[in-house]
Amino acid sequence: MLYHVTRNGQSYGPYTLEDLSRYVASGNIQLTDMAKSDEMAEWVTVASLVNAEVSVPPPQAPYAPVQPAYAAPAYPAVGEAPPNMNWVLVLVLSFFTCSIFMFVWNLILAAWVNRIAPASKVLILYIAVTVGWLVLSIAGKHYNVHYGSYAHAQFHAESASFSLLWICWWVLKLFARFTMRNELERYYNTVEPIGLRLSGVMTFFFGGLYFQYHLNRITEMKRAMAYGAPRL
Amino acid sequence: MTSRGTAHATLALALGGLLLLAVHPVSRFYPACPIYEHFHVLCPGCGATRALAALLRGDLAAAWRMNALFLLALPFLAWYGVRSFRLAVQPEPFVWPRTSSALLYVCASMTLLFTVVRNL
Repeated sequence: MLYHVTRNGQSYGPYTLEDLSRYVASGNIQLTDMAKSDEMAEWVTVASLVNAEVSVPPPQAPYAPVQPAYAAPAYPAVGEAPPNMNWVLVLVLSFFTCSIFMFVWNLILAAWVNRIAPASKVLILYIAVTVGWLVLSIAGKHYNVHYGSYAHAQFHAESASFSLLWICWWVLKLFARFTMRNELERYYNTVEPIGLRLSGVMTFFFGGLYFQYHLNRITEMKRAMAYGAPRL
Repeated sequence: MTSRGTAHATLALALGGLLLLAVHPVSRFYPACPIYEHFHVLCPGCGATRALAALLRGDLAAAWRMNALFLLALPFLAWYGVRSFRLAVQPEPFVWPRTSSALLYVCASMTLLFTVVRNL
């Protein structure tokens, strides 16, 4: 039987059940994605299909109560999987691009948070941070090139106002970081209740890199769950 | 936008960037390193754009002088980019290619060492 998989309105497939199991194991398909064959009337989670495949019950003694060793994990209808690039690779790529890649990756993270929590303002905040950084960098470059022709007093006045703008930008950046932290904690304690706690100090200093470290951890945990789904 | 659309847009942007760099190796419109601007310290990426421009001209020695680590890392970065593109254009939902954590820790350590050495 062939199954179509849907995630966020996009359709993939069709796949056989073996393909589905393989893609779940590789992380391409999440157990929480929805799947349906032509013969089925309703969409069901991939988890229910994959678990149905592996949970052929062993023969039981007559009248023996059926007691599964583990309770089947519940997979609520959740959003798409987080971006899974290794946090060390994000760090290395940021090194090689003079930190520009970190801005790009923060936007990718913010876009994902916006998809799992559409009411949040994270994406708008991170776009504002990126635009602000671009504007201040370009203005700073122009300013550095031309400050030599400025009168001494004027130079000091402009320097102070420019520094103030950078301080405002840093405040905005920190606000964006902590908004993303709150959204991640809210999501991973309600929709996907895994008890995520994010340190305020680490958020302050490392922001997106620290979030990526935890998202990697969550992805690995889900992959391990997919491999080790209990057989009833 | 689908992952396939994003992959094609990124490829077009990258090829456009390379073409621009080949035609105009030096321009005041290219982004300056924010780390160098603020702290006057050479970061590991400083000189990477100029190294790439030199490489496009076929001047390997100049590319090496501009940023040796970037030149060494370029084949791996290109491999990762091609692999990501191939995964993104497949009909399955996109996931980034998996990489060895041990290898990445070595890369990060080498990058830090390179940064220290180039600022001595």
